[in-house]
Amino acid sequence: MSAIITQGLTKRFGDLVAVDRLNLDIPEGGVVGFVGPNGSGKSTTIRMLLGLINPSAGSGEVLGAPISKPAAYAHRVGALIESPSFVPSLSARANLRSLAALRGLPTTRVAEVVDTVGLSGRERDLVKTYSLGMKQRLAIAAALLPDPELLILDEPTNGLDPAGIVEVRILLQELGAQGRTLLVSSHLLSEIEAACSQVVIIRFGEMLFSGPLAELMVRTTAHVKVAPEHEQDAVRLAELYAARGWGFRQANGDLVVEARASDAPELNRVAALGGITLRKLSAYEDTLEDVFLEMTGATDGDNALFRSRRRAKRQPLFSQHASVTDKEVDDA
Amino acid sequence: MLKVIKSELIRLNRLSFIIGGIGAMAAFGSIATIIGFAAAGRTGVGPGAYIPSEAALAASDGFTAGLALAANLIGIIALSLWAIAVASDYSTGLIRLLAQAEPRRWRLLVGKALALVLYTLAGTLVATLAAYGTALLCAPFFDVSTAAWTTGTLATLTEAFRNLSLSATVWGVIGLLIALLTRSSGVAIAVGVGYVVVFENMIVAVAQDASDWLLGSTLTALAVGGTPAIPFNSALQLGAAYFLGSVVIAMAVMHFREITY
Repeated sequence: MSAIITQGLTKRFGDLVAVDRLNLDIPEGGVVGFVGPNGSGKSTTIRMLLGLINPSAGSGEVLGAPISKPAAYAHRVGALIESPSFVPSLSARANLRSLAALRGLPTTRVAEVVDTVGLSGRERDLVKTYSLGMKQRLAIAAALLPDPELLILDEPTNGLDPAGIVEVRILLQELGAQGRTLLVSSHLLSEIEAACSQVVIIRFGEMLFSGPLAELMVRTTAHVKVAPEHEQDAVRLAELYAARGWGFRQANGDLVVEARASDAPELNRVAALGGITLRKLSAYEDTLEDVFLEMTGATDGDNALFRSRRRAKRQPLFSQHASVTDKEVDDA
Repeated sequence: MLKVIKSELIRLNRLSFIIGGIGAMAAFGSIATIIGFAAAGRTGVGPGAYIPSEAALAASDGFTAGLALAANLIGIIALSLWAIAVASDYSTGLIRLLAQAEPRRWRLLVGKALALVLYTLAGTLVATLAAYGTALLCAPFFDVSTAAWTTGTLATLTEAFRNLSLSATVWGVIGLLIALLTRSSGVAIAVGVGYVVVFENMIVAVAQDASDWLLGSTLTALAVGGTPAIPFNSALQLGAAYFLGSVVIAMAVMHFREITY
């Protein structure tokens, strides 16, 4: 059973295609990361799912009900949309009471969600005295009010300090473990990697990947960073590795060799046999951020003109690291 | 619907609204009453200003004369309150949460309007009582006879409250509509005040008959129980037309506008 499913979901604002034939299938249960560069269509998608804007084309279902009838599922969905939104001159408690009343929930629910997000003791303070992090917690509390089966959180860790980020991560994992479905949009890819079991990546309104995080990370590449003791040996070292069939590239004075950690002794041995002493030999695996940047082209999609130009010459997905050219080796 | 009204009332229950709304209505009711007594019988006080005669003050409904003087001011306060209540939903982004929790947007709008009607009724009630109390204090000070005030006081106060409430409610709906269209309380208030103080007077200057149906004239007539130009029943019908027209447009805007902010 899918918590969210869309077919050809499209949203146009004039000439700008904000979301382009998006096919989502988010299963029930678990924490799903929803990532993409700025302007990639994440918020527009979320707004369509919540009934705030109408699709230009396509269809979708949330918890089995069509998105054209959001009233059918609104009581089962909690959401934090873009930024915390409250009446600043009211207390947090009054703001939550107001939202609880709108949903027909008992006032006791307010105390429960305040406690869940760690705002107990501060709930009677005016929201305008809150820090951004506290407002963010309050927004999560508001989203939790209906005890939702589906939580849609847009940048839930925005404005939180490192400790707050960890707390929210734990909270998300706990909520996911309770059988709820969480769709979490975030720019903090390390948080997505830490908290999510599934991930959806979009760019220019189109989906690039949807599936288990593990499936995505399988496609990552392992690297070993190598640096000779003497810079003038870099070119010769590159030639030695190229002769053995290793792909590599230059990065900040290092040779980044496409090899697993287990290849490190061989890389060292090849260098030694060539009479080169290494001052650096360190292995690392791509993170989600590396994968994300490779998939999305490391671009900010806010610029619509830029977007339309990019559309014509999209990069292939998971392009291999370019092998260094002779000229680059010479430059090195 | 009750859920929406309750939710809205919780958000309206803040100091700025109580002082700036109900308090201001009461203050204007009192101040206008004092001015009415102080300036009674004077003529040539400027366009749009209604100053009661000494005889009118001594009549059985004389204690409500200040309310007639304050009617448009109280109307502008109602317009401002409604506009702020609507526009702040947009400026704070709260509309996103509200529309997600209650996707039937007509309910959001009608519930908000009904909550604001309750708030307006509270304001006009306090203003009516404040004007009455002020009139009782002013009468001996300005040598106005109160002999006629003793009969039918409650009925007169009730009628004054009803008329003022009807007028203020239509003002409020106009504020709601402008705020919904502009998403700005500042613009809504500026348009409302500018219209009453300047624009309508300009229109009347070039087309005098327009004062028989223009918004400000109509709502003034409604607030004071009718004028020679616009009898109460006509004012009631015109006020209802303005009210319904505003509500229909507001419902359409609320229904069709996408929440992209």
